[in-house]
Amino acid sequence: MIKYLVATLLIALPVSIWAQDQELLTQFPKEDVIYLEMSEHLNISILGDSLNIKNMVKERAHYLTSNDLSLTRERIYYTSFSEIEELTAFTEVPNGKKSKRVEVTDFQVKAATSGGVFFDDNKKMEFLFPGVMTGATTQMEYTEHIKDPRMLGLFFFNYYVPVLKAEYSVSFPADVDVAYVLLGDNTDKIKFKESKLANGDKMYTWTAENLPKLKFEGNAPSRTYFDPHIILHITSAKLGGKDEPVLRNTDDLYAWYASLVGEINPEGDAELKAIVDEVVKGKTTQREKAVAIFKWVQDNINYIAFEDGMGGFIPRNAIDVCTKKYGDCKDMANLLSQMLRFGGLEAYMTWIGTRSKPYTYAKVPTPIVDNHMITTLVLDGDTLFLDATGKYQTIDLPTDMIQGKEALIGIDKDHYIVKKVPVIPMETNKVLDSVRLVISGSDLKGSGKSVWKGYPKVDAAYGYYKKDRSDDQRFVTALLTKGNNKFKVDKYTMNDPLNSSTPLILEYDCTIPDYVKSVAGKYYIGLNMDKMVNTQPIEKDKRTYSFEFDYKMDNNLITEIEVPEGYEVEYLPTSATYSNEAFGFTINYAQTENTIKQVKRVYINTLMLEPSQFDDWNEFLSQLNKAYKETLVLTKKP
Amino acid sequence: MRKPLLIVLAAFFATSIFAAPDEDYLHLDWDSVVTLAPLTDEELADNAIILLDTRVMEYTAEDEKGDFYMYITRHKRIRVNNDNGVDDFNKVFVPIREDDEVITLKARSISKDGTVKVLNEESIKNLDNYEDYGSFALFAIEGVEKGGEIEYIYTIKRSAEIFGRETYQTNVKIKEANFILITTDELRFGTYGYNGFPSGEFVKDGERYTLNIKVEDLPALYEEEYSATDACKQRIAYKLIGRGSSASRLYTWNDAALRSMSTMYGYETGFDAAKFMKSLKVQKLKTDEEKILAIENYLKTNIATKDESGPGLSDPEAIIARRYGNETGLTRVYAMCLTELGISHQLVVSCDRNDSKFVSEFEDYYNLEEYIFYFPEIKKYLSPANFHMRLGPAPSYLAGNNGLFVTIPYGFGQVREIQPMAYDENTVSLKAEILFDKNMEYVTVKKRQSWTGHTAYIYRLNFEYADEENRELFIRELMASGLDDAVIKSKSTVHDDVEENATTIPLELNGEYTCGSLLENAGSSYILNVGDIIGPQSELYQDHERQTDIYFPYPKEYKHHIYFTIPAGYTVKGLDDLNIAKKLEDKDETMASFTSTYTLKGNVVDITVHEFYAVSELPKEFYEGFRSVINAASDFQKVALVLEPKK
Repeated sequence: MIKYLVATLLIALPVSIWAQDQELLTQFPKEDVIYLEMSEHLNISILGDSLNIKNMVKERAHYLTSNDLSLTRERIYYTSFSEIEELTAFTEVPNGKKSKRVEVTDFQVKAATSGGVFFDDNKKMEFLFPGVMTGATTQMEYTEHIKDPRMLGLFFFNYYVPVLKAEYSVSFPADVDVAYVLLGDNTDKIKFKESKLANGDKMYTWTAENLPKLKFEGNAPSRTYFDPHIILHITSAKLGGKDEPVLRNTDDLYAWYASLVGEINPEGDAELKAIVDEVVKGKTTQREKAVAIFKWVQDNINYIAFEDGMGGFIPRNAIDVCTKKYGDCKDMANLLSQMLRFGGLEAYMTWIGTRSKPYTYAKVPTPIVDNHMITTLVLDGDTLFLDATGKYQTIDLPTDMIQGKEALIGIDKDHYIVKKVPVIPMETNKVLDSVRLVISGSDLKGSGKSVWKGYPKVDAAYGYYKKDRSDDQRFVTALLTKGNNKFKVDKYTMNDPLNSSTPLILEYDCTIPDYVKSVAGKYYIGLNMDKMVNTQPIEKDKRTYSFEFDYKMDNNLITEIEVPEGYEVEYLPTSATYSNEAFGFTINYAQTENTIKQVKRVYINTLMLEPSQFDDWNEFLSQLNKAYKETLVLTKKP
Repeated sequence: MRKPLLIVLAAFFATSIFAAPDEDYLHLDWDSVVTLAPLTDEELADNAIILLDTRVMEYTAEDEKGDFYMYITRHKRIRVNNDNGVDDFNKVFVPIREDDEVITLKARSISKDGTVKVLNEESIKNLDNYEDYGSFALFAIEGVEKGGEIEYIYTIKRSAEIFGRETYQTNVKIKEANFILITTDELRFGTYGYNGFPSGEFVKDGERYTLNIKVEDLPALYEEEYSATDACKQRIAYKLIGRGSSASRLYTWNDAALRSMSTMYGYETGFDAAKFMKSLKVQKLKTDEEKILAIENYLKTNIATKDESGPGLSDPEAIIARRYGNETGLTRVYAMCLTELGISHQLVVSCDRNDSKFVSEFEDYYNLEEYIFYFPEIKKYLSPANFHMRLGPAPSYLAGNNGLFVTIPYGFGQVREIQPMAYDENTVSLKAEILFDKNMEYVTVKKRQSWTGHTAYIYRLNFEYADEENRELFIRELMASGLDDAVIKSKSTVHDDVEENATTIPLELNGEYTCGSLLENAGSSYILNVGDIIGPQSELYQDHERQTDIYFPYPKEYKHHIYFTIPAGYTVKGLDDLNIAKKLEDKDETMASFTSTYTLKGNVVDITVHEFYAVSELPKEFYEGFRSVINAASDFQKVALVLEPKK
């Protein structure tokens, strides 16, 4: 097949094709574009009393076809912590046996607001490579002047298209020390070389060749989990004759973080204290006070993110946030910590990376390690992680995106603790729906009760919050739907879905129209009215990465069917089960007098399904699908 | 396309000479004494209520140079009832154009207890060159709380615009909407209210002409299924229609036709159409159709399109040399080639019917958004923008709307409908044979699917441009949608090249899958979920009164043929459920229909389904009938047959 493809491609191309292209086409018969080179060289030098850091970036792409020109549109993103200098870009357009160089002349600077952020000062330089056709090569080079020695970024060795050669290097004088960590899969294939430059600088070079393009798979964790990358940091430098630590370890990182938050909250304390007194009025226990304060912040402060220079790192004053009534995660964390302390509680500002950052503070003591701030509360000996950006969390339920992650808890200017946020057990995230149904013609009718706890409850609250009409019918129907898409909720009562202090409880009457198959004196009823998981197996030979779940879950549905007068059970499906530590199900059938009862439970007791578990997972789904084929048959008594 | 015609017109206008300067404009301000507006219980249950939305366009000539300006004022006040309401309204973006002068910009929040917090000016941020949207002043309103109000007001001085469009209706109810247009006899404006918004009338007061429209209780317009919600929103368009004592109407359709022609055909460029076509060997081709297609195939597979304006992007010479350009530039390339070839054609300008209805009675140049070509002799269209389409029908989002048809080279303009395809030109066909496993554990489904028309165009694009993984996913979705446990055993596509879009040859997908869930166990019997073979069908509800007319992407027809041999030793029960017939008729015309029937010959069950939607738009009065046809397909999907052992 590959041979055939190559043959047709070669015929289709002009005769002037270069030898290099023939080779590349054999190597990448299915690719439109490849990167010949992707490199960054970080040059660290000392200028006067400070560090001068330049990152030289170079990329060369080659077009094997002209089918996909999306990469011809180049964007260079930068923040207020860096400047783009010496940018050149051009296309080498094939021209007979040679090539013609066409320079890019039109560069545009645009605002680069990222998703979920209301305002940020990030910019992007945008341009289009001209004249790209089959056989063309594009090249871009620029220097990024990095203004803060703590923000060196990271380098991925792979890209959206295959990369022939990826290289990352750093050169630095004897007075500078650096450290690095290689992360992701296949880092053993990255070659390391240490050398000395003519000026006496040390140089480290990491080179990788023939890197396949990065793969996108549904529900895979962030690419930082598996794509090979390097994070380098300056540990210390001798500046003006003095040894200056930069980022040697977590201590240095924390010292810097602490210096950023140290200066906030100088005023407005009395005002804030008065608000706290009002909020905790009548609350006697520490727990009640904590709950009231957390709820007050969730209710009154709206999440709006600003990323404005150092404003992206320094929280705004608590009282300002309180009066403006909006803030981002660090603003909310700061306000909440302050209010809790005024309420007589033990609370700390806390830095944390969400689950998209698979790093630890020990291994990656740089600002790349985290991307979020929360508040840690020590209550009755327990450490609780309060994320006020989660509008509907309880004090015991951190947001799902930080489960299992290390939290850097700032005790005071000089002290911190690193502690892991717990992974919330599946029992906490339980959904239990029980419904009793009777046959009415071809419909099923009945009533039920549904109770939602933990993260499913939080998700439901967000769903309720987002609905755009004043009536709740559609929301309730979507939560309870079972059987088929004609499912109708006839009547219901519901407690306030936005009240985080109780589970969501729905009591309802419902109809499932046209669900009962009635043929020649028999009723056929499939009792598996809700699949609870996507039962499509994972294609093992195609999937490379783990499969991530937002949280552990425990779904339960109890269905009772009344056997109508004059009928008896002809076929009661057999019970089935599959169970292991990470996932499983049980479906049990029982008959008592005139009632058939099916008790169904599907649980997922892990956040990450590893490739080694795919066989078991498929077996689980296969057994579940088999169980789902079972249909209850009732027949007229003779 | 970012309204190239308007840009051109604005340039013409800027050079005109206008009346003496006048620094007066209508100063709107908020109340100094603040009390929360009373709301009904129903209004309190909504996320938010817009209490006031006032927009003023005041035209006045100002400086000695004779340049002409307008003051744009907006005053908005909103009650936010819950978190969602707060979140929707506490962030404000004010679009600022180059050379705009912000005269005032202020905002405040009013809390439940009447506490007022005025926005600190330092909190206003500027976002420059944000994507292609230009620049913005943006701010978050401070002190907003549930049950409180948000209010802001701004006035911007801007070079006068000859056309404008103000959309009022949103998914939040407006208690009071005002549109005020103030001008002088020197500049006479016409207005047109869309979807029930009043058009208003000018009243003369001294030198001034004022149009003042007030609408109370403008209901929220919600997203509905099968709806072009944006096009249905109440809004007003305004345009310059006359100057001083001159009786002749300005900016007519004929003017637009001439200017469109001049934009596309009169552009000065070094592009040599003859030479370009020679390199493609176009002249050697026999028919006009072959020639058009040769140009189209080349441009659509070799030139990258960039949705931006800029000199190099719209110049045919630069586009061919650099291999990228914008839609205007590409349209010029076609225009020059067609002219060079002497092929009889018309230029058509129209707009997406999802966004706006194109009305003939008011020359709303905002509707002149997208260019296509029409070839009257062969009754075919060409769309420069849609790189997956080829010479043939008009894009479905334009078809059914009116367009301005410009005769070339004369430049006469005529507004008429862009003809949509007939439903039997947009077909989805399925032939499926079901085979039973000998142990009755699963079924094998052999499928032969084919598509023509718009569906085929889009699918071919997916086949051509998706990477292997996505292509596999797409095929799975087409073959076994909704069947999680289906295992695809074979698949092959025929006529899947995008260039086939110039033909009426169907795109085909043939293949086979096995599936356990289609055959369920019921003791000694089995349930065959035969309806699931056609994939999930949507069920339309009617839990709210229908607000908008029915919008269908394009007329469409489905023809399904499903058959199987009853396994030996079994009989089949429940076949009568397969007989479904629903029709939507008006007078003698059938606008939509679903019919499914079966035959049982020997031990072969043969099911045929015929479903079609003959029109792409229907008045909302037909919603019930339309819903019953859509839901008939959903009913069919639920049909299951019982296979019982023979006694």
